Amino acid sequence: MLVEGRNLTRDQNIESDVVIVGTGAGGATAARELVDAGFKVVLLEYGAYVRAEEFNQREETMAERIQGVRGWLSSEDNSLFFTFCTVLGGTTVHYWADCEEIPDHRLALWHERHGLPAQDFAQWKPYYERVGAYIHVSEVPEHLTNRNNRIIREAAGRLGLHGHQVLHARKDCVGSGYCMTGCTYNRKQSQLVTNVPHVLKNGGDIYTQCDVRRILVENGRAVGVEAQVIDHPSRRPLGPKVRVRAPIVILAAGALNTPVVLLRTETANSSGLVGTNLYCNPGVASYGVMDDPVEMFRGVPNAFTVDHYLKARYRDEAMNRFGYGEGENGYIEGGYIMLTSSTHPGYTGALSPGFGAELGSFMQDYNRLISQYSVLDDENPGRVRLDGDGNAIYTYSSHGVDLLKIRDFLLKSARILLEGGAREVILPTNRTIRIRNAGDIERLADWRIRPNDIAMAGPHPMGTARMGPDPRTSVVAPTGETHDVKNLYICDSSVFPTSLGVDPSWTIMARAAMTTDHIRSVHRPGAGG
Amino acid sequence: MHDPLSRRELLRRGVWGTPLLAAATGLAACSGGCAGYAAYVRDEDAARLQFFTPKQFAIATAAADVLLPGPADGFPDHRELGIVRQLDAELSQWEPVRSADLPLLLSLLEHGTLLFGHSLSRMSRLDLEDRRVYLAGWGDSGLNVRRSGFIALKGLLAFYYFAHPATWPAIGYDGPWMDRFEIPAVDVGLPA
Repeated sequence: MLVEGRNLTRDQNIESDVVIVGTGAGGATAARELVDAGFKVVLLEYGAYVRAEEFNQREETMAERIQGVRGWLSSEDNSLFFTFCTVLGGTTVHYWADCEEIPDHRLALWHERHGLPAQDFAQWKPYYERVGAYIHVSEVPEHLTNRNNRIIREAAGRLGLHGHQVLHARKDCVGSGYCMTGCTYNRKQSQLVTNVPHVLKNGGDIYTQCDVRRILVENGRAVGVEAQVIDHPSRRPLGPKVRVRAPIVILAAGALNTPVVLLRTETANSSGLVGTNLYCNPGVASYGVMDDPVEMFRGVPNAFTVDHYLKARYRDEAMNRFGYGEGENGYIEGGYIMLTSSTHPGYTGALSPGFGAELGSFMQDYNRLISQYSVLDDENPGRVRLDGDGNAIYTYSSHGVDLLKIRDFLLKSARILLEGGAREVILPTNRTIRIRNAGDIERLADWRIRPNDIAMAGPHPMGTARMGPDPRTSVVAPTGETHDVKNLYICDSSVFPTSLGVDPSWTIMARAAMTTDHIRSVHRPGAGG
Repeated sequence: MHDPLSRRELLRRGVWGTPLLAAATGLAACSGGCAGYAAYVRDEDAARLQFFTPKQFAIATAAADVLLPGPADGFPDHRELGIVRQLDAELSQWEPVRSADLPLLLSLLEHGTLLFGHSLSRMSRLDLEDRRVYLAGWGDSGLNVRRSGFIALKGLLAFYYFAHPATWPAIGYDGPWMDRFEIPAVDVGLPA
């Protein structure tokens, strides 16, 4: 049963085996796993149910209707804006559907520096396969690989850079390019068109427009949640409340919102770490101007990723093992992957270089642009906290080695775009930087980037309720259950101890399946806590 | 340590200087009747404002005149497209904690000319070239908070401007498919 909050006229008091907060990659996957095991599951979603025909392929409308904070949530110093969705299906409704696996060196880091149990990729592989089947993971076919991707793939090949054809979650894609505004055709395999309908068909209940204000905790055990029904898209409170009592509570509201629920409830935070360690894989764009039309905005946005610089490289060989967390000292290069990028006119304009006539001149080349976008393996985290009035405040400002990585990405990308035939490369800084040859790149070798010199996005929030074995240094145990509150589980990217450095959606799903395996091993449907 | 001055910290510490802030705030309190703003605010716009005061609308318009391309660059006039009006409507939907800085930013843009632009004229009274130089100074500033203001205002205006279909012919974007092609959505079993 799908209940839209707008249709509720009175309070709801519900009993269930499991209540899950959030319907994105983590929540909907956990729900599917648990309804299939016979659990009665209720999901509460902050956003609304937006139907395929409402995805009108217009940026300004869909920012308002599907994106978190209407698309305009920025860090406190405004140096980065977070891109995420509050809608049935979560951020997968606007994601690019890239499916990346966790790198081995990141698992090793999490084991040796964060105390997680030793794991190699072989232990994760069955989970990726299991949840990958839900979203039909496959390699992007050639006919959906647009000219932007082909140019960059060939240029990277000529330069001897390693890359890969992307695995994606699409089925019978028509190549419209409208992934970020929500797929009008239900071809992108978001949670909205995969696990959400599966859950509904198999007895799960979903309530939309529910702002979960509090986790109910009794005698150290989670026993349910309370939510305020809200209007859509204004998000203003409506009259009714929804209370769900359940012996298993799963938070899957994403790394920006899960800590807010915990902080407002003042629970599961004996470590003081809830909301800290906010990583987000900052993204900056680079643009090359070709002589002929490219139409980067059609086809699959990112079909080819340059992963040559995934691990940061340091002068001291010993620091190259993890390629992460070593700071500026001895940094040489890397620490990011390079997506092939595509944005529609509104976001291209917002992230563009210069202003006025210069901005106009750049945009006149819009359909001749080739572009890359960084997924930066950030090392210096921000924080989610509450102000005195209970409002969530997001602090994040790139600094230290992360700014060196951004510069390195932009200059390496310039080399690739020039190799691809761009007559000039344009970096989207407040004062436009134009690169026409290798000499121009050389001259920028010592360029010092500052926050707010360049528009940045944070597409992959994670880390704000980190996982680990020690309750003093982590929020969540390796089982997925919080250290402090029994039967309270977290199934989203909050639990990652560090940045992932690649698209996290598939890993969030795989990690949710691991947690639900644990839940099924210690709880029985209908048996209470 | 990274740049430690957030917007709120800056305001709390009064780094911009209490006199400037007082002046900005006092001047901001003027209604749309303040001399010199009429050229930027039509009566029908003033009557429909949901977030901005008429003066704030005028300042945002004066900034947009410089931040956005226009007819001289082969683009539509943002005023005819109602971009600042659209921004006003959007901001009216934001939570106060997210939108509170925007009026202050506009006041400082308008009256920061003395401190940052070495001019006795407020921003909206500068000619277009002087305004362009003044705003470029915000984008290049050594103060993170000024760069932040620049990037926020330009980003918001540019988003709504280029998301507007009237700008698409100039950039070679042929627009949404759903108005042009009949492609059925796959039935995934969700309620209608």
